Amino acid sequence: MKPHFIEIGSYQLPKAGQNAAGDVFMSRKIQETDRIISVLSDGLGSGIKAGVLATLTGTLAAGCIAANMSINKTAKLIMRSLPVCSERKISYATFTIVDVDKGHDVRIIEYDNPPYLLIRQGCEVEPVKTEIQVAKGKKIGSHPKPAILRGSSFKPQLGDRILFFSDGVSQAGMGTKVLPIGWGYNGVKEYALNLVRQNPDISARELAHAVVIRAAYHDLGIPKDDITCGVVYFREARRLLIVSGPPIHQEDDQELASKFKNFPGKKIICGGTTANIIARELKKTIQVSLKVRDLTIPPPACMDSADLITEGIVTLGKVVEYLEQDTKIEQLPENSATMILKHLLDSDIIEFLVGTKINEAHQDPTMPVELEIRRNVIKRLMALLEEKLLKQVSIQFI
Amino acid sequence: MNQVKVTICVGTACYVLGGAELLGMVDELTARFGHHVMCEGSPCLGFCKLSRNSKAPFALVNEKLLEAATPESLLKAVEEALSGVQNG
Repeated sequence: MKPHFIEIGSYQLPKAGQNAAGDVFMSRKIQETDRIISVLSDGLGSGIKAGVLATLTGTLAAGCIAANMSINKTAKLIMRSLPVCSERKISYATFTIVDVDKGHDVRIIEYDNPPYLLIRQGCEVEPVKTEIQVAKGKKIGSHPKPAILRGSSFKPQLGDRILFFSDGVSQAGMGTKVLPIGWGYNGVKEYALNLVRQNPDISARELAHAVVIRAAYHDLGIPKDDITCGVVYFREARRLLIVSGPPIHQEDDQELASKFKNFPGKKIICGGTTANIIARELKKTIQVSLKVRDLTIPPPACMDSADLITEGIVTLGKVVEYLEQDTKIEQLPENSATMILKHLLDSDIIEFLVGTKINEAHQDPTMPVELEIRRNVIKRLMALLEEKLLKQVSIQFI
Repeated sequence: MNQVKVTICVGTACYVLGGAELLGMVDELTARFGHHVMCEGSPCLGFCKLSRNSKAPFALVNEKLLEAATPESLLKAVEEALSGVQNG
């Protein structure tokens, strides 16, 4: 059986008045063993101090699980390592670790976060959870009871989603007239299930975003705690082709167009000349949109059989910049680079088909900006897609 | 009355050498001349590759090529073309 593709998405809003979040969501892909580990940790309190606790917890948890350390040892190590809060005299951060191995078996370890929600075919599925007791390390006197961790494992099916979140989500709205005791686990569950039923193809990113925004809405737009949600989605891979640059030999123009035409997935052309070549070979017409008017980035264009056409090097450079800056896509201006980024985020397997012909006009020393070599920009973009977004990326030159 | 067609190149070389300002003229041309002017963009008109001496940004006003086009030269060319259409 062809393994499912694993899409991981998350969204976060820090507690109102805090610049840094005290929750951390992180994911690691272990290339050698083909495993994916995601951790959501909520540090005691909020702000930087909580962020440090959560980051330590997340990093340790992901590292230990990746190194095949037992759950017991991992939990002990985390509890011994966390610094003690000067105000509360305890060291504490919750965690949920989702570990997906090569065979796509899922193992989840939870400590004090709201329980995760497994959504299968629009319904909740409740896996059996076993309790694991772990003695707390530091400050034994102040921690008389052992920590209770919950472990579960299952074989995911195509379409399964694992939704996990911090208590900032389930407690959202607490104290308000509408939700005096907060949104609650069941409220979050019903909302997420409804979203999935209404939109069965909703991406991990969109689902996590929707849950967090709804929680913030319950908090009347002023988050009373850090609000974080992560989603792991097992689905068929979404493929994206990005063609950029004319072939070095003109006789390969037809091959370029044919590869573009026959690609089974979404297709983007980055580059005016490249777009003209493909349009000519496929006998299509290109229409540039004059409505999208961000004057720093050339406007997008459309053509039958292409999902998007943009200018090449300036736009791709902007995509790299957006990815490097970690800007939330919702905060980006509407332009061609943002449109490419949306496609990248929503795709799993991204293939670049890069023409190596150099446009001499770009080498003109009177150019007011330095135009990078296409191959270098794409190399940087590929590294970001692989390392930051855990995408499967490949490149072919023509 | 015939329309004047304005084509603005939005290829890389044109865009970084001032094509963005030309695009900023689209609203003004439409406001001034209404349906007598039709503006469109082109992914790349290809003139930057033709000769070393040609100068981006490029735009076409009907068949007339504008080199090193500026908002002013574009406006002037459109006005000339319109008077030609009206006289002709």
